[in-house]
Amino acid sequence: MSEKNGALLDISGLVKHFPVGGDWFTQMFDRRKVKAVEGVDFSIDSGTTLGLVGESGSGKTTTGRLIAQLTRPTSGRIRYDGIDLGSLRAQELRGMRKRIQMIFQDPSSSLNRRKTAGQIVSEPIRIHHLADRKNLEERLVTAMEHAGLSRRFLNRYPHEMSGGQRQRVGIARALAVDPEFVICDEPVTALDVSIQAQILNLMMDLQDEFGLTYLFIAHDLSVVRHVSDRVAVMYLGRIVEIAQFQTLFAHPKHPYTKALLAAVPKPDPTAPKRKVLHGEVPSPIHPPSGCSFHPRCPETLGSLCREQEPRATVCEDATRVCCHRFPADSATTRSPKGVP
Amino acid sequence: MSVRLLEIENLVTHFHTEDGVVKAVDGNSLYVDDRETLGIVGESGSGKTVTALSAMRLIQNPGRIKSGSIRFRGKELLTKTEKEMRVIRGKSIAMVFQDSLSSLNPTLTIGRQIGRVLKAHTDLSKREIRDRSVSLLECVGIPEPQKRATNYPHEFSGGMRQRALIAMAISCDPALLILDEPTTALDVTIEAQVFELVDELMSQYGMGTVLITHDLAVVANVCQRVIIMYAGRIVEQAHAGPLYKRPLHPYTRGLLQSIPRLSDELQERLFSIPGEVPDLIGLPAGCHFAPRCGYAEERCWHVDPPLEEVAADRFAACLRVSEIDDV
Repeated sequence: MSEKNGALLDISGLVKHFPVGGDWFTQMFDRRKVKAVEGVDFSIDSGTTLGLVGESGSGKTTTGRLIAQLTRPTSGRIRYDGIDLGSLRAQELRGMRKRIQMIFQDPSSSLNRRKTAGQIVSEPIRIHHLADRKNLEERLVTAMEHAGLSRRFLNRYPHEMSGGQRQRVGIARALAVDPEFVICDEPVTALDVSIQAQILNLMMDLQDEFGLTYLFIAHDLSVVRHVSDRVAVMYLGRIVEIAQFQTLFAHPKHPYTKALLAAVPKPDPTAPKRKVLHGEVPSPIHPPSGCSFHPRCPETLGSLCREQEPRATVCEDATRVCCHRFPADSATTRSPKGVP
Repeated sequence: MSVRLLEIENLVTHFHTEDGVVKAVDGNSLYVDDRETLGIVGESGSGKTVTALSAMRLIQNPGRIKSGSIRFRGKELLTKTEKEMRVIRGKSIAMVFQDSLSSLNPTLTIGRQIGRVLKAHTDLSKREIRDRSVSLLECVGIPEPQKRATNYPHEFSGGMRQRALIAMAISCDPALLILDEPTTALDVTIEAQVFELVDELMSQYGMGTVLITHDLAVVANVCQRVIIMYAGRIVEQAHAGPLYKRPLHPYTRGLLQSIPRLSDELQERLFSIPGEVPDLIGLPAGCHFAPRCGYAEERCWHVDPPLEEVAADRFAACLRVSEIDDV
């Protein structure tokens, strides 16, 4: 879609563990951790879209929140435009927050219901001192118009709007500060079918107009395919496959990617029955040994997959895949871990 | 020969709210036979859930079934007493609701909750009820059913809760199973598992199924017949094959065109239906879809389009259907 301008965002070895217990006292005795993100690496080029897909509990939302600096990583590095976000002080981070914005899944719970659309969208403009009192309204109206909302919505409360209009307010709020990078967390999941297409078109138009870079998080593969330049598939906190969208959808490599694609229902009654992937995503507190997908994997290689963690390999078509069926040169020579 | 299970005729269900009368269902007719799956498709506010709740006589104040007829196996349900309806609900017609967490009682174990349904509708002994609850959980594919029956709803995953609800719904071998958005909150992989289960149960028990959803792709995979609803009215009704091959109503066409598909060649702009779903209070006369319809002409704004048979077993409510179809 867009030309390569070098990586805007570069993530390496990103890990996030959450404690299981609530307060510090419980945590003293319960040292179990929810391993939400377990070593994620990827980069996004300026002006492009990376689609991030996976089932619920795969860690895709946590990854988005880590990039937006809404939560601190346990370890790993997030570099944005060459700057390590982890090294920034509060003051510098605020400047960064203007450049990185987020659109949330549920427009009804991510908007303050006691504020009008105008107040919601003007808040980031005021916080970042982007306009004085005179220019505020002009800037506000521009942001609303970019999201396809006319001036008459300024004084409406969220409950007076439809789901699609509320999501447009969420988009206007993100765009109000002229960001470069927008994390879209399931932006159309809560919307009706006829409204989904409107919002997806709007987001693609805005990308063309302002040269935005998107991280597009979703579980709907058809939607992701439609908007993304590259697609990453997550499973239990790890990226199992990442590739150009054409490559990933035409030649999926990881058994999990194949299973996800086979499960997508097609709007055609004559299509062959879908293949069903059995089982559920295991608990991220006790992820399975070896390859975390092996208990559900239809192509498992037995003890190798059970005992040894697969390493990432880059294939000829530039797909990066993490599966023992695609062994890395170094991995084959390593002695298996945990073998008695 | 198939048996007609449910027949709804000219059903009108209105809600009398402070802001005005919400015409949630406005003169709809439909039927369901045994061994068939009927899909009712519509966006939020189209009246699909209210249609199902009306059939179960579960409409609560300020809602009211104003007129029409709902017959189950030929017997009128609208004249039955609440006591008689309680026997029918759960035993003859069972429903699975969208939100599995709020349809289960958080303070009772899954086994107890299935047991309650059995206790209400059968005269099994306590022991038999316990055994049957466990075998039902096994039947819907829950591993270690003996142990899982003693779990509480919060200990189940979303997919497992939905399975438990289905187990509860089929516990008394209902003739008709109504599934209201059973997989909306679930991942595609789990959704595929749930429908695989429904498919198995249907061929095993021969029940009729109504699937209420907004997802046309799911319907294509599961249903034989499809009803499309818009703003309280049925706008199109057909067998799945012809409907997807050649949709007649402009709304159905728009819906099918606006779904992103895995087979799309390019990342072009999606077709989108302009405008928003209308407010059901104070709907004007004429076709409810006219304000969003590319084919609308003067008379569409004044004349209510009747649901007419346009071809064998194909119904559409559009004044211009014959002209549009030629294009």
